[in-house]
Amino acid sequence: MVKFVNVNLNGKTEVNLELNKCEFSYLSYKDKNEKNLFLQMLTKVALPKKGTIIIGGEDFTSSKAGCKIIIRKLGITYDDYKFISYKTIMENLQYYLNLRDYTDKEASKLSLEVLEFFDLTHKKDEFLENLTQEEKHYFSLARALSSEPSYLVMDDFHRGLDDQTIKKVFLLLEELCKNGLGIMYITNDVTILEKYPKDLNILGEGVIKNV
Amino acid sequence: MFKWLKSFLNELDEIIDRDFRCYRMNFFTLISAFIVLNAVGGVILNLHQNTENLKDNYKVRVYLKGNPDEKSINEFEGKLLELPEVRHMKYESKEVELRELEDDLGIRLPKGNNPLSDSISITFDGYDKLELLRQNLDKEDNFIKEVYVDNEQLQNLNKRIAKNQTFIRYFFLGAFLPVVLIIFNLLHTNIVKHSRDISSKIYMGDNKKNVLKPYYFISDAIFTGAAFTGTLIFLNFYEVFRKEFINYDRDYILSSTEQMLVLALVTILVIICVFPFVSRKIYRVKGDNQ
Repeated sequence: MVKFVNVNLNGKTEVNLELNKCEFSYLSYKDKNEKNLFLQMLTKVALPKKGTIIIGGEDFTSSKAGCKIIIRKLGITYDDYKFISYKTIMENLQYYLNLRDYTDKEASKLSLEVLEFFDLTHKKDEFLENLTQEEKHYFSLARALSSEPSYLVMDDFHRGLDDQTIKKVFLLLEELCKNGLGIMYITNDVTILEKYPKDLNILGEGVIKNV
Repeated sequence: MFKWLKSFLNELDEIIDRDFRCYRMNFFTLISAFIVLNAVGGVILNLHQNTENLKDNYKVRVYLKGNPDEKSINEFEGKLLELPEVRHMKYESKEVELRELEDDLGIRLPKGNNPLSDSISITFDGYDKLELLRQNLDKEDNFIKEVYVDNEQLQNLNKRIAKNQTFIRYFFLGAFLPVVLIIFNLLHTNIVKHSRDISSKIYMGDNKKNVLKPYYFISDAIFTGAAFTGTLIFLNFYEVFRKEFINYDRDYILSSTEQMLVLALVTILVIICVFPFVSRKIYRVKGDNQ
């Protein structure tokens, strides 16, 4: 499970949150900075001043920065993708997987598998700038799933996608969730919340409330 | 170790390959900036040296009473040298002075008829110390016959030195500092323009130190290479210019190329030590806790 225990975001907001396997929930926010901080803490870019983050039963806050096994368990898609511009799609994936302690051979195999799943194999030697918006989204998801994580955090993934594609993505996410993946979808978009109703957590005002 | 080196070199290769044009542009711009920096530094150094040379012209001449012997002249000179405002002095006997006067007038005066006195030319610290020096010399009236001060010449000299110093100050602020800022900015830009990639790598889970290493390496290499290339180009131009300049104006002494080389090397070393350090301090990315 991914668990935030009394995690202090910015001195004001205290977060208590839990995400289990096979669980699909939303996370809304009032302050974008708080959301960014939340994501930074999940990647250890920022550390909480107070509280603990537990991922897969291990304390993420106190473990070493390069705790590759823990970050394997968590896949994240960002609203601005966070791709490396000078690396090809395949190289981006391999870099990501190498950071998660996969050997070059394993990384290469997993990258090809995941690209094939998202029908992006023909783009593997392309740079990010040559991908369409939809392909960028799919690649972002492919990268997050490439390390076979147990939990997936998605930040406004639907932004820039048409309704048809969003529907396809949500069907895929439902399927992944049924197969054991815990998903937290960060958004403030009411249309999405209404169209695909799930449990909603609200980040802000000091607590996370299950609504 | 070799795996790390291999991946580091690979990273370097990929970054340079992708942004080669930009780095090349940056390199040549930095070379130009260093040529200008050295030129500005050269002007300042030469003006400073010229000003220092001018300061050696703050002189008064002291004519001595009677025919003092060598021992008393030495004692008197020792006393004068103890005065804080006195830099150095030169003794001239009345015979030498007479010969100089004869040479100036183009005549020969009969021997044994020398109306001049022995004199000491005193070089002192500056126009503002003249009054103090005069007061101190007045105390020696049993040894000094007359103190000759060319007030107009000293005032003109003072104005010229003040003008030089003001020019150096404004030239430093108006030319040297902006060039230094341009160089610093170019160096800083080398890293900052990759902010997105750096941030992406850190968000992917890489360590900030590891991520920044290749960028700093490239930036430092371009900077050092450009600094030395720019300086060497300037020194070559300077040598040619100096030779030409000496042909036109022999009174004005330009600093030698060796002096310029030392100055340039010291400047570059200071810049190499300070700039990247400052740049690293200024450049902040998310993940400073790593």
